[in-house]
Amino acid sequence: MKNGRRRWLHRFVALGAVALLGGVATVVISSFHPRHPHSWNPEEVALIKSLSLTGMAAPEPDPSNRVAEDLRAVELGRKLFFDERLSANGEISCATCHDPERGFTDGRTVGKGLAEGHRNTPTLVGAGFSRWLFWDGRRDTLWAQALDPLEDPDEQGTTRTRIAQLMASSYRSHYEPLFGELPDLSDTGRFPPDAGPRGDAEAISAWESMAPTDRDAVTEVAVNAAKAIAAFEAQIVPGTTRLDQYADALGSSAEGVGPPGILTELEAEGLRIFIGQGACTDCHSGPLLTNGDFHSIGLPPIPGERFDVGRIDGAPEVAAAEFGCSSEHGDVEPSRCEDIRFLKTSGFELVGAFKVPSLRNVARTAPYMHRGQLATLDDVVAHYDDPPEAIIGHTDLLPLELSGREAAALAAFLGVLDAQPQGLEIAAHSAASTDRVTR
Amino acid sequence: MLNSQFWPRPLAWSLAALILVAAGCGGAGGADGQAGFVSSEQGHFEGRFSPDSTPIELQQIHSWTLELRDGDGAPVRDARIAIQGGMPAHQHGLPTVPEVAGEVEPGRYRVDGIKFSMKGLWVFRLQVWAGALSDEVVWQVELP
Ligand code: HEC
Ligand code: HEC
Ligand SMILES: [Cu+2]
Repeated sequence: MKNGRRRWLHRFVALGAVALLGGVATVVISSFHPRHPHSWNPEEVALIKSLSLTGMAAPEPDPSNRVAEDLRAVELGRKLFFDERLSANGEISCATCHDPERGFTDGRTVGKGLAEGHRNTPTLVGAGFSRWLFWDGRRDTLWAQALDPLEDPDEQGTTRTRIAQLMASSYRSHYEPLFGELPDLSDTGRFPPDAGPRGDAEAISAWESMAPTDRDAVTEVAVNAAKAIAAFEAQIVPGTTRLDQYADALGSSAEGVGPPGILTELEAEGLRIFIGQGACTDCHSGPLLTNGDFHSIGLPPIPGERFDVGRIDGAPEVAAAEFGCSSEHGDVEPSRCEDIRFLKTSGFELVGAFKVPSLRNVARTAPYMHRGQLATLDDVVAHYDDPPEAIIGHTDLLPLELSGREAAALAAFLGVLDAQPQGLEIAAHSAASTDRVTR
Repeated sequence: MLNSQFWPRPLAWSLAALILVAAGCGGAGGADGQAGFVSSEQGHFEGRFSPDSTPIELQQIHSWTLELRDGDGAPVRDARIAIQGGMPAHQHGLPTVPEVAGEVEPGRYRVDGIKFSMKGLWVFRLQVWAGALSDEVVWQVELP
């Protein structure tokens, strides 16, 4: 009897110990591994679905560009995008830097045309959705943006009269049905071959000696060419990625369990950090993975280079620019250009702030950031994990304290955002059109 | 890291937020615009600030209406209003510069050009001058 009771007691104690151990183990395990990597709570499901392209409308046609939706303009714009004659040395087109084979970037730290620039070349995939163009948002429409590299002495460096003459000599049959009759540019006394407000000293003085009405006529042709380029660019939209497939399948599964075979466990862990602990979706939100705004993430300046202040310069410039939604060349009532009406031009937080880039196709567009400061996605994750103090301005980032595995998971997740851009079959066209435009 | 130079009065902000939350006085206007009036900081007015359309969409410029009444419930007319706001947690201001469009009905003022760039808690400070009085309405919006 005594023995019996003792055995029972032993068993009881042993059971208790096992239960206790089990409990501790569960707590320990669950603190390491909170949930199955593919199981999501309702808020997470909603957040993941908010990143999906499915159901997102096409870019709203730019109201300041009357040919934004005209397929003839798209076709003309596509040819101009690849036309190297739109440069001072006849060798540089938009596609030189925005190469369709490289996700519409150039793989370089900073862009290089006639000379080296000081900013990294961004992708054009989804640019039609952007309210602001350039890293500092110093233009507000695609067509206003396009005139900039054409005339920039470090990029294509062509002149306004030369653009107009090319339209007359090579694109008349495309141009006139869209925009009406081209002005007669044959009098080289009135229309010098190289005249423009941003050329070299000679081109500038030639421009200044032209009659104001002739200058206006030339400017209008250049603006129209840029509107055609913009119509083409708006067609370059992101394709469906594994994230979209995952998000869509998640929507239909009742339990919030991710479908098998789309994301690896590591990638799903990365997604959890992206929408959770990493707070990446504070800024990289919505289907394009950007909130469209400007933030400073405190990237250190390059030693020996002038500090790039970003938005604090870009905001006043966009309001004053010769070309833009509310300029005389925009095809809309200026009061409808709301982004300009309510533009914020001052504030300490704009110092060193840059446009939040879309992360779609990000694996194709290294190096990263406005100055190409970070070479790989691992470098990007390391920056966010342990952000430096901002040297000038401030930083919006707080340290994340990721483990090695978490950092790898986040970088792996960024690779999930990849897809062939959609729209026109751009790569196929590019080869063909390069043939066509050779002199 | 949390640099306060560009955040006007961080302490005042957090205090205002705390007081509002503690008082549970409905100042935490939900994104659905269901909240009631709140008393201004010095008690001169009562105000309610609500979006003209819901749900609030991120990144879209839209309008809000500020309703102002005095202690007796009468509309506060001919007020002048200045608006400021931002996200206390991230120490940034509004992404736009909103404009007070005018008094659309007695005591109702339309504010154009409001935009939100992020989910989370946004706080507006609406400075109000009316007659001989000046006061501030602090209004919180939590975007889910
Ligand atoms: C020499 C290289 C180069 C050439 C040529 C070039 N770009 Fe770019 N592009 C860049 C760089 C670099 C930037 C970013 C500059 C900045 O933010 O200051 C940029 C920015 C842009 C942007 C803004 C994208 C965004 O999300 O903000 C668009 C759109 C664009 N380019 C279109 C064009 C078009 C159209 C052409 C031809 C007319 C062209 N580019 C020619 C290098 C180039
Ligand atoms: C406070 C807003 C903010 C947050 C939060 C944020 N980002 Fe960014 N992200 C930006 C901005 C702004 C840039 C461009 C910065 C620059 O060039 O100065 C950027 C750039 C990037 C780039 C480079 C893209 C390119 O084409 O060059 C990647 C990749 C990226 N972020 C990933 C992430 C990840 C992953 C997280 C979460 C750990 C994150 N971001 C959190 C604002 C943010
Ligand atoms: Cu914020």
